[in-house]
Amino acid sequence: MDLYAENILEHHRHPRHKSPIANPTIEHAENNPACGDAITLELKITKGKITAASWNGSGCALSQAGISILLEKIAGMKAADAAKLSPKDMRSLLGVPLTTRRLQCAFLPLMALHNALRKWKDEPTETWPELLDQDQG
Amino acid sequence: MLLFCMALDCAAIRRQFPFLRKQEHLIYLDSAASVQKPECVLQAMDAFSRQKYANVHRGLYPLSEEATELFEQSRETVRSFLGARHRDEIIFTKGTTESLNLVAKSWGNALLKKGDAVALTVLEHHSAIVPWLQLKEEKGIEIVWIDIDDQGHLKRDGLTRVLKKGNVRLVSVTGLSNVLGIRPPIKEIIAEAHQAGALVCIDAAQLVGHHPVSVQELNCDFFAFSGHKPYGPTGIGVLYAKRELLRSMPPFLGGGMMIREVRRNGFTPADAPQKFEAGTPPIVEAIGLKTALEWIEAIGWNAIEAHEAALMNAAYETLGGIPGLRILGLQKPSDASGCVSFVVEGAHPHDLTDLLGQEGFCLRAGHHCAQPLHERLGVSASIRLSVALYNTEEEIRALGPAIARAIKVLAT
Repeated sequence: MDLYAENILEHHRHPRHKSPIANPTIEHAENNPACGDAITLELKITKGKITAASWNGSGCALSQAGISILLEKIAGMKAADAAKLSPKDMRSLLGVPLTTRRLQCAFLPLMALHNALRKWKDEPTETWPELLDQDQG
Repeated sequence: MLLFCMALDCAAIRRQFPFLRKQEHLIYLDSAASVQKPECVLQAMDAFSRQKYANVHRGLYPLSEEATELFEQSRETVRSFLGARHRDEIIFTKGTTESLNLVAKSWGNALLKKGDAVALTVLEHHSAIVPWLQLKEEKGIEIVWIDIDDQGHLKRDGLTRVLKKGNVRLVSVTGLSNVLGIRPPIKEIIAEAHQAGALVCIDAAQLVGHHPVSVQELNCDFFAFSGHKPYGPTGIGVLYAKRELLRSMPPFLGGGMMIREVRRNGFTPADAPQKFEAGTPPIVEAIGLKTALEWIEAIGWNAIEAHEAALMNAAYETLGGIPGLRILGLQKPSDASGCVSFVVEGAHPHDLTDLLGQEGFCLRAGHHCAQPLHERLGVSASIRLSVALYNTEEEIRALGPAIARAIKVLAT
């Protein structure tokens, strides 16, 4: 299977959750300056649950489809569980083989989610080495 | 017919590149990042490593004497290739980046003071920008920028304006943009800067593999390039600087070779070029670089320039025929050399080059270490097609349908 599987292209062409939500609890932006991928994430968290999520951004198909897929996954999820989603989970959500040089595109959505939730809990944000350390390949 | 005499036998050139023999399905259009090496360069490095290798300028035994002689012959080849007056004006570094850092960290650090300015153009590669930004942080020097027009031509009145301020001590300018393939008129820039009392540093990383140069004719003060752009190896670069400048500059790195004498309480530096060559130099790479430069000269600049002009024509024709594709900068191939960059509506450069890569086309995507330029052009990333002697017009024309297929996959 290749990187541009129908699943990725479908989300790239028809991104989900790409419209703003009312009164988000937290907003967070992440970007890859090296290639210009950018994601801004908005989460509404009620009683510890993610009750609404939206994003905006621009960049390559992989990063943009990835955030679309990730937000479908976390709808209704407990914030604490969403914070535990790992690179391995992200790989299986994307379902395509990742080469080393596309890891930052593939994991940017996860980093945006992790850091939105850390910001919400007033914790220090995650760095790339920390995130990539959790990746088992 | 003149053209006939200059024509390059591309098939014969291609046979000299082991890379092409092995990888026939690959179409390598990323030579601006690094150029493939001809057989003679690989062989020279291999033979030297196997039979003649020893450290240089250290041993008095015959093997070391011979290695030293060959190493110094490489310096002589570089001197002659650049048209420099003296051999000691050629400093071996590990690449253009180190060469440019040497200028900033030795000359800049010793001779610039708060309030002095360095002028950069928005065409510059990060390696010609960041060392000066570091000096700005350390010493409070000023960085002033020279803008381009939408085609990528440097705004000459912008240069005149910054020089009028009277505090510009150095202008750093690329000899050939690694993104737009444009050649700023460096000879005129140098003359104008000198009139205003400023020195000029040329980043020639891209220029040296595509056009002949003479540092004496240009009258530039500093001139930097890497071995792996003019068909040589990585790990070696060159800084040319005028002899009197090198005399006034303090050493760059400290270590062996760069000293005349070391005492417990101090040292006396050696003279140039050794003053700037601390540690064991890239010996094998120097042999490779010498062979590469001789290889270029044997082919001849007329043939090289004519072949690459035809490649650029083919590139502009091919890219110009693709709907939704926008060529950045120069709109005429006659002004461009080495590379051309473009963006495609609705297709991110990384996706496009990833898909092209699956078809065997090697092109680079990103900001090509020129973020200020991309910001000026209003795009975050671009795709670059770059050429070398081993490319053919057919390879470039084959790219057209491949780009069209990739666009179709990504179409929203």
